[in-house]
Amino acid sequence: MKLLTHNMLTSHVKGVTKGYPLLIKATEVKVSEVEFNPNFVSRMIPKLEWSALVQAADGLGHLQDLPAELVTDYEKNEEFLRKVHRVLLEVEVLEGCLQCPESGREFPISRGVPNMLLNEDEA
Amino acid sequence: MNDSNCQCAALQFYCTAGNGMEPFLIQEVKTKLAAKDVDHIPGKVFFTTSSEIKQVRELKSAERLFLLLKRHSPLLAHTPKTPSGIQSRLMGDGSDWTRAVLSWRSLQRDLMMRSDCTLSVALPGRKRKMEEEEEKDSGVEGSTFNGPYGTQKLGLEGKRREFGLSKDTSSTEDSGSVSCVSGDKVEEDSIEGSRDRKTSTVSFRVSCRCSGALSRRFSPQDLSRIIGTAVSRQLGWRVDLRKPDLEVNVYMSDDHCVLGIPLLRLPLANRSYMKTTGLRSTIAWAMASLSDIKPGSCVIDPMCGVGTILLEAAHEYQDVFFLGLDIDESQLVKASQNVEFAKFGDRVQLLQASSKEIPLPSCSVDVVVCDVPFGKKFGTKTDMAASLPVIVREMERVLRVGGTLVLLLSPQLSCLLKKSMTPRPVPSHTQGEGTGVGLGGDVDPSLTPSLFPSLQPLSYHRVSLGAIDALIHKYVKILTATTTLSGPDCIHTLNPCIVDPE
Repeated sequence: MKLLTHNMLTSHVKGVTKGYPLLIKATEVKVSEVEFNPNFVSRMIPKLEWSALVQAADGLGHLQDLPAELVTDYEKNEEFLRKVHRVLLEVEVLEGCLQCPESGREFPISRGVPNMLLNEDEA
Repeated sequence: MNDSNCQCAALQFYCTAGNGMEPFLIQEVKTKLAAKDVDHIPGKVFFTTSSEIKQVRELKSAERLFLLLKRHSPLLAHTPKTPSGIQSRLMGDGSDWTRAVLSWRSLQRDLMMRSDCTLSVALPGRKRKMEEEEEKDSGVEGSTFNGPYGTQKLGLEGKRREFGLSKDTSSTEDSGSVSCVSGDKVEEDSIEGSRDRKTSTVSFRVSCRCSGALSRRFSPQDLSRIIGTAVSRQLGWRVDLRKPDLEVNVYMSDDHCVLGIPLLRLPLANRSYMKTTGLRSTIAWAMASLSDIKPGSCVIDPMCGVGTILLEAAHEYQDVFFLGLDIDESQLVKASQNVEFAKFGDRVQLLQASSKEIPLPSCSVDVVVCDVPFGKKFGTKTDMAASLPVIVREMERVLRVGGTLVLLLSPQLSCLLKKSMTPRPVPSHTQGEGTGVGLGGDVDPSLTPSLFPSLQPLSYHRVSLGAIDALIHKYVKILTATTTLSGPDCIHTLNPCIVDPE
């Protein structure tokens, strides 16, 4: 699970109103080299919940120098885009779980794929 | 690109297409190949283009690709039903045939210059030799590149292979007229060394398909023989039923007469980048083409299976994020392998989740595209019919206003969905299941509103999946009284729904 995906995920447990962002508890994290595509990154940025991204990266120990606030005029700022690229696409949680901030329910992540299936009573 | 400067003469081609796919293919050839003289009959689209063959072979909604040899109005209109009548009509003075084989040869050379491991070129007898050549040159292929720090350079690998193929740079020309061949760009491939290039020693085979009145008179084998005899007699080509240089496909019906030469051994629908297929790739591509995917779009498939639609879309559209959801782990494993094989790990992500509870905020996605299971997966058709409203409701919820929904449905589910969207008077007939029997017991005299008020139907397309037909439905999510930016539909909204001004 890459952090771009994590940024979109929300807990759907019944009755939960604040299921976002999910807390990441990682047991295995992988960092790989992914080809940098500045267009892709700058187009994804408007869709991101920035503070959740920073929090997630920090939680994994991969915050490095990603700024706490979104930089204005980032489209031409290659250095900034590269930092975002690294955090969004190169850091991957392979094993661990995602925890609903309100109910505490844990969703396992295995082989990089989160399992968000709910039990019958939770749906 | 090494030979993008090649200005090819315009050639006439046709492609076969699945039933219902013709409009998609027509659109595709016009858009991608600047095709002229685009015409079609059921199952075939004809076009003229001067684009390079390597672009033509990238067509995504076509089945097979042919060089057009000739095309007639139906044979029986003007010709007596005799073998010699057929022969003289189809052969003419032979110039169409001679011209076609020269074009074909030049195209084969162009195709060979581009080394692609899984899509071999047409020559049946040469396939093995060619694969050996390709394997030598493609040491950088696919799976060896997937180490943890392996870079994913999709575009570059293709280029590397092209440059790697050994070329004999002495340029040669065919004997005879070269009106369709850009002479100085024709390069001799090393395997062809011993082949005689005079057209008179081309070996060929005829394969016929016929229907209608003609087929009652002659069997396909008869016709193949009749035509084959005329060709070898008039042009001197050599008949070879086992390993011919080229094949002539003849299609004759009451309404049409088409002769062509297939250009590739495998159908275009066989994708080199797909490991395990689910839905037919042409249909998957057609759905993606309807979805208004733009750079920056977030696209999800809530029942992605092995990921066919997302992969076709990822191959076509750049700078887009794709998320595939499926309830079934075994499907996701295959999807994951497919994503890795195609090297789309940076753009396509997977999630195990139920389409009835999509773990995404409302109004957060630009496109939802989905091949809805026809009923077997969910146990029975009744189960699927009962689940469909919940599933579509979730799809509606996660779409942002202005977003697009494209679904592939069985005829029964299509009917069911249409009914659930049409406000209709309901004496005894609410949404039907597969058998058309009403669901609930309530006799409600007033209008039943649409179950999905913020989904506006835009178009429907009927396509053939082979044994059965299916319907593609396209919707756009609109702003309604209940779909306000911060209304009950958007309880989990994080960022305001951005209504795309485009």
